[in-house]
Amino acid sequence: MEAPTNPLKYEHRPTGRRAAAPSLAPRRYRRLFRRVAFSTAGVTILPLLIMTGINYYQYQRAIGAETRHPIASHTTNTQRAVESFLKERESALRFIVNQSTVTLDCSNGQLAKNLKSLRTSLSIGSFVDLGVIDTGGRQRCYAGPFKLQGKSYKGQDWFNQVNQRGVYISDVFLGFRKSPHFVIAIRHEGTGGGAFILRATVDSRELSEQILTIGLRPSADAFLINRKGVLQSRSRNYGKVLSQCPLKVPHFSKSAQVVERTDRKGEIYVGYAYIENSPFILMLIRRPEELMGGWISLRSELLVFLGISVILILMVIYFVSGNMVRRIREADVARAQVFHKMEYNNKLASVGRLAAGVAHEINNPLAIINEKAGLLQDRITLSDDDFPQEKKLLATIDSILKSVLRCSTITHRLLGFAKHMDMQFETIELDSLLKEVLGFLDKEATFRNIKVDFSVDDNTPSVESDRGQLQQVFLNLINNAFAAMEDGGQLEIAIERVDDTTVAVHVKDDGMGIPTENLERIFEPFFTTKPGIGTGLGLSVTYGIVEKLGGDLRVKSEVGKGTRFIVKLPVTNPA
Amino acid sequence: MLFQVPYIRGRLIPCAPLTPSGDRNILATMEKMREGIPRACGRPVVLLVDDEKDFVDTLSKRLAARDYQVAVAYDGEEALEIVARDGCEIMILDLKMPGMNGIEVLQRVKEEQYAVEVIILTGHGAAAEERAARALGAFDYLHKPADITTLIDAMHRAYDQLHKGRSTP
Repeated sequence: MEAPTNPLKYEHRPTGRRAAAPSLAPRRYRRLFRRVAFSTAGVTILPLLIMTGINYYQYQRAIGAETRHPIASHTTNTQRAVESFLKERESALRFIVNQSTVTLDCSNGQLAKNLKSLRTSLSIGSFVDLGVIDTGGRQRCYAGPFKLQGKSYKGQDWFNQVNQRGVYISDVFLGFRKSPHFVIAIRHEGTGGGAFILRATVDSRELSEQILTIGLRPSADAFLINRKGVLQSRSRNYGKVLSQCPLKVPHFSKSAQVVERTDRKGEIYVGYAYIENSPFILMLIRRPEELMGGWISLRSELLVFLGISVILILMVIYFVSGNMVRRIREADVARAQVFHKMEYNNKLASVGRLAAGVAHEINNPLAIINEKAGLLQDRITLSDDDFPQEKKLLATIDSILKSVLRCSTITHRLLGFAKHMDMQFETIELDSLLKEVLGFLDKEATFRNIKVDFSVDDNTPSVESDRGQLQQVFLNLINNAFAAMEDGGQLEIAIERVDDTTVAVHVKDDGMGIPTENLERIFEPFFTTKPGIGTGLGLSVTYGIVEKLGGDLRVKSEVGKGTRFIVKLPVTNPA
Repeated sequence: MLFQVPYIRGRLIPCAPLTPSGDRNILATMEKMREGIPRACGRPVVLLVDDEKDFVDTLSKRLAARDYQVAVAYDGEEALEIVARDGCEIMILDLKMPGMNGIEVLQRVKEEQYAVEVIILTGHGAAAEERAARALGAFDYLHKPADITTLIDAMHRAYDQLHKGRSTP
């Protein structure tokens, strides 16, 4: 059975609407397709996603842990370096204080000598100036580029702090020649003359290059900030000294820590350490790209693999599901057609049996009516007597006989159902058979001025079929066409070779056509559009015969344009 | 006993008068023919076989009114009896009857080689039966209700067939 492209659209196969098979609506199959596709995709892609997710997470964690460790140790090292830098300066100050070379008495110029020797011993981060301040806050001695002798620091914050804690390290500020400095101050509890404070300014200009960023990759960064997040040393990426660092000040921790942050360029690792006894926080910035290059490429491979797999799976699912659903649909359609055909044929067969029985039972009383009326007629016409109202009587009898004739036409059609149960097959040339049939109707065609167009395909094979039945089929169809046409219409009859096994005969009229709602029923017994004239049996008998001959009868029609009946017949005897 | 009906071509002999009811008048004719008296007229002797009494009676009257010698039988056995006893030329036979059906009657008639042409007149339209009847040698197969002219035409053709090639005795 060929796959129907658009079932029941003009092309009608005699199938009932009440089907045993489920609905064949495209919506149902779209839904089925979606269900199959989604569930298949779900059970294949979901585990894949979960697996990839787990892998991704584990790789990231493992590689992340491996990455943090070197940052932490680097941070610790740098922290130590900074702490020792500060400690070194503090120790130098303590040393000169303990040498008793520094007193509140500055007249001997000892302070300037001390400054000079400190400068020569500390090549970088050297002292810029030294000052001795008494407990009252007054700068008693000063050695350095500024004239600060006699300046009072009393009440200043650093002064209070150094008095409390014994040592003080200030934030960085821009001092002498606009270069960064910070202050280290220590308090000395003197033996004789009382306590004093030694205050030194340290040049921190080269702190960044010499201690913080030494040995760092160009993309990495290391700098100091104070507790308010202000940069205390130059940063490669986060601004100048004393500008606000865009990164958040990390929480206090005694030891070095590594945290993940984001800056404007993306993710970063931040190693940080609070520098003891100072306002400084060491910040070490590493970018994950440089640390985790392996991971990044692994990750992209993982994602590419996942993407390709998902696309491939989806494609396969799409095609396989589509194919499957299409096949299911085809099977459903085929099954529905078989069901419909069976149902229809059963209907026809049972109607046929019933009709034959009824016809036979009716024929006997009909025959009696016929003979009785005939006898009456005989009595009137054959006798010499004059009957009163002879003409009226004869007219009545005539009408009885006509009615009997009409009844017998119906019963004989009904018997036709049973009649085509058995066939006699012979080889038949369709074109001569059709010409023969047309011969019967020649007179009517001429009378009604109907033009008959007859065409035959070349090398149309002859068919093995039942001559009488075929004559009946074409007689019915052509009669039908004549009935549908106006006078002067055109009838087309074409014999066409479909393939090696099938021949089709088209009978096309240009009559009034059949509305779609009637198309579905025209093969049903007793369906007629001409009540009182037609019996509604012609086409159903025709259909039954074609079926019995192993053929196929279809109709296409358009209202106002005409109707085409197509009889397909097998070339060889199907029995 | 095989009874040959004399055929007198071209000579019209007045028919025997109808009985008041119009039926079974063939018996008188047969009687006369058996006694050597030529038959009443040059028309076939017809035996109607049908279980529908009303039908056969009416039809026999109509045929008789047209000067045919008509006998009737209401079932197959009776029909065979009449044929065996009196003979006839044409048998108009229904197929569907209680007891012996038309096909069996036809079979017997042909087996016994009676010189009878059988015309089937039935309300049953099965092609298989028509084929079977024709195969068994039925002269024609007509459907009920049949026009009387059709029937008479068939009878005449059957009569001609029966007497084909025969000359006046």
